Amino acid sequence: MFRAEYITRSFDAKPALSAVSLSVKAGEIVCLLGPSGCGKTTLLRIIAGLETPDSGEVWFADQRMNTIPAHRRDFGLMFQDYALFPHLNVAQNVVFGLKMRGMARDEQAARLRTMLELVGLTSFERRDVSSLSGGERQRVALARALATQPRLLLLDEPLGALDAALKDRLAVELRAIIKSVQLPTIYVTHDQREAFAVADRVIIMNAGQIVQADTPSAIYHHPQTAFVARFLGMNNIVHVERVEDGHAITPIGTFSVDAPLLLFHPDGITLSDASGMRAVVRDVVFLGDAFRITVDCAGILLTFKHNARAVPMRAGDTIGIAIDSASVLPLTSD
Amino acid sequence: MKWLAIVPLAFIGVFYFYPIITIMSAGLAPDGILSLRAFETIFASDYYRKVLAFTAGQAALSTVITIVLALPSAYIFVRYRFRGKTLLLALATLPFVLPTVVVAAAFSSLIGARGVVNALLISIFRLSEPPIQLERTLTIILIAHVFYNYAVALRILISSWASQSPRLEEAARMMGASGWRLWWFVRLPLLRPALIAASSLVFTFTFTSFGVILILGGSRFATLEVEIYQQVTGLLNLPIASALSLIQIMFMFILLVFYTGSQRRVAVDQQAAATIARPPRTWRGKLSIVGVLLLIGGLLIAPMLALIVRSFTAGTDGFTFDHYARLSINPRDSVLYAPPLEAMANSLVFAAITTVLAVIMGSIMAYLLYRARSTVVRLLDPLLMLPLATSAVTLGFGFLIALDEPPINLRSSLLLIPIAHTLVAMPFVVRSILPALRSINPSIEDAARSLGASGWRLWWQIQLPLIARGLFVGAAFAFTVSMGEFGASAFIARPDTPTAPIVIFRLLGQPGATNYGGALAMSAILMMVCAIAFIGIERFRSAGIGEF
Repeated sequence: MFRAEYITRSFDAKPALSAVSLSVKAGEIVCLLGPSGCGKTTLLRIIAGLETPDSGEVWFADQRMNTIPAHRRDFGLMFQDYALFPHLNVAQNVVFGLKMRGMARDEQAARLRTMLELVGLTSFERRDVSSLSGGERQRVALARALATQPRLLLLDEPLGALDAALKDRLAVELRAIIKSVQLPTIYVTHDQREAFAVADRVIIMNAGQIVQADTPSAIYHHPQTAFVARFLGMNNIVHVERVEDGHAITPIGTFSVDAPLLLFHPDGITLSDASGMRAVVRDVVFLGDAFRITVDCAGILLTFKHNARAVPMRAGDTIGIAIDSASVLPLTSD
Repeated sequence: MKWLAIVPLAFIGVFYFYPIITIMSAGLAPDGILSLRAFETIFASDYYRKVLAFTAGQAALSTVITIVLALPSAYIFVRYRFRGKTLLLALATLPFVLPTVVVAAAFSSLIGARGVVNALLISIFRLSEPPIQLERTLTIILIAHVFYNYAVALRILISSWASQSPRLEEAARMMGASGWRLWWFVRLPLLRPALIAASSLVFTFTFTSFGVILILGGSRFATLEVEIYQQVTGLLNLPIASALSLIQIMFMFILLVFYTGSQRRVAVDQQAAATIARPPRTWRGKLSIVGVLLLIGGLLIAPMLALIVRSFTAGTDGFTFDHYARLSINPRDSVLYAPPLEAMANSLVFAAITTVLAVIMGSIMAYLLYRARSTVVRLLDPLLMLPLATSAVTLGFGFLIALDEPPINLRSSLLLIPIAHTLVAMPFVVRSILPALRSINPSIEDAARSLGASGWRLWWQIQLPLIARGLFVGAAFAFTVSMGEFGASAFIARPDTPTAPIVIFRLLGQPGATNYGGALAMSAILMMVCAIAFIGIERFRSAGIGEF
């Protein structure tokens, strides 16, 4: 449906994007995930037509979009700060794009009602945008971006300005709304929880390049590079001493993985009785739904989660742990 | 701190309201009974109605032309990054601090009968008389008004525009807005408060225009201000002069309420002021930059250059320092007339005193207004601006009749001039400091309080350093305002201690190439002095500081 090919862009001789390609299928939600400055927003702006690439092409349904200006691409874009027009009320904001297209007034009114219903803001028409809460503004911005029934929806950190609890709830709602209108969507965020909750496919970016693209669960269970693992909060990364016959030898054992760098996936580490591997507890943090335990195992720090009402250990205690060899994963360094 | 406000309030009360009320009551209630006869005369007479219509009409026309030129220029300044942009903006702002008499001299040396352009055309086409005859026309008045106010409007529009999120415009483009619809539905509505602020300020300045009309317009044109001057000096008709003054003050006060109100809404968030300027990529972008260069070069810089050129060449075929050399000579050998250079020294002393007075009282007032929560105190804002909108002639004459007898006898005191100048300069100081104060993040103040700083220490250690730039800008404005003030000084200056603008006005009004050359040389010096003070303004003015 949509594809961008070999997009390259630099600012003042500093490369922001180097030959990035991506595609979006009909009805698919793709998340661009990465730390700030990784080029994800620049890519989104190039797709929107607000920025021009130095080289590379943007295609939509076999139409080359490079020369088509933003206002004629018929893509919807929602900004992080929402960019609601302060001089217009909620209804005027939502129908702005329809007005630009010269839609008849009664049609505009009908579309306005549908949109406000969709985002759950009926009876908000005459409200001033400055009187809205963060969550309400976000919905108005979404309704405005959807009102013109764009061919492609672009979202730039749409939940970035909201607090954690609201974020979780709205991420699910947002996905439901987008799925209900079956719109191909590119969603930019730096929050992996948000990306996993919303996306069909996640594209992780770093330093202007794509480092991994897959479904949320595949990325979570099989991060491929050290950057991706660290970005997802998995820091159990171990440098292999040497590899013999396809077996990696580390201070905490030998594993049948042929790679110089290993990830001990936190999900594969569990507490065990004294028969397990011996480790000294460094740190226990209560997370609410679980405890996060950091242990020192033969000079290597491993962190994992333990699900229980209470843990009978403190920093300095010696405990036993078990490592599931299936969750010892090869990583490429970056 | 609050009690300190008594000082500037008392100053305004004694030196603004007392003289104005004195002259008003002398004019409108000569026998102690209020007589509205003067108003009846004014509104019944075709002549005064014409004066009123001309005053409002030329102000409206000047405002429209200024805004129409400044709006696209502001767009180009915000949108594009190009070499020399900062310098260009600085040069474009220089006219604003130039004395009216200097502006008059500059335009006469550019397009006047004896000006550079005419001299050139005469020598090329061997004409017997100057082909461009703009002196004493409405056109030259309008050109001079645009010359003065273009940068005022440009500055207000740029700072408001630059502090808007560029996302708003992008959002509109994503929804299909482009071209005129982008202007009509997004840019202009978003700029509305800034447009109102700029228009009302330009309208105020041009409505009360005095020097430009008197010198460039000649006897054919009279604004209210000029008419008041004629009524007082020529016809000694105090009732009519007072009534006209009152009409002008009322009218201006309404406008200033608008202005100060809209200025509060033009919340210039200095942190948010995004640099969205980029080098031009298209030929249209490049062409529009050339357009702005030509506009600023032709309209604003050319007259100033012409003034300097003519001050060396007027009256001769070659190049001469004569006009400058003669400035230290008393032309009439009279006891009452000081040599022009002495007048320049007088002006510098008066300006220094004015700067000190205006900065001290202006910063106290700005602090009071910044703290203001009640509507009553907020009304002080436009009230404080009133001296700007009051006929300088009325003020000057008010000084003469109110302050030369007990209880306040300052008759022929040299202090009268800096006092009058302070009244006119204070609004500039307040308007430079107020936005700086308003842009201080309130949590900074809270942090200081929680660390134990309060009252004086809060002001001295936290607020003052944060508004220091605004303070310098205000001081430089006060200085240049005082250097250039003409209307009130013309009344209250003692004949033996004239100010520089008064001497220039006298020289311009006298026949002969020597006097004309002297006026140009003197104007060039005054322009340089103001330019130096102005460089101070530019060095300390950061984006968004100063509402002028």
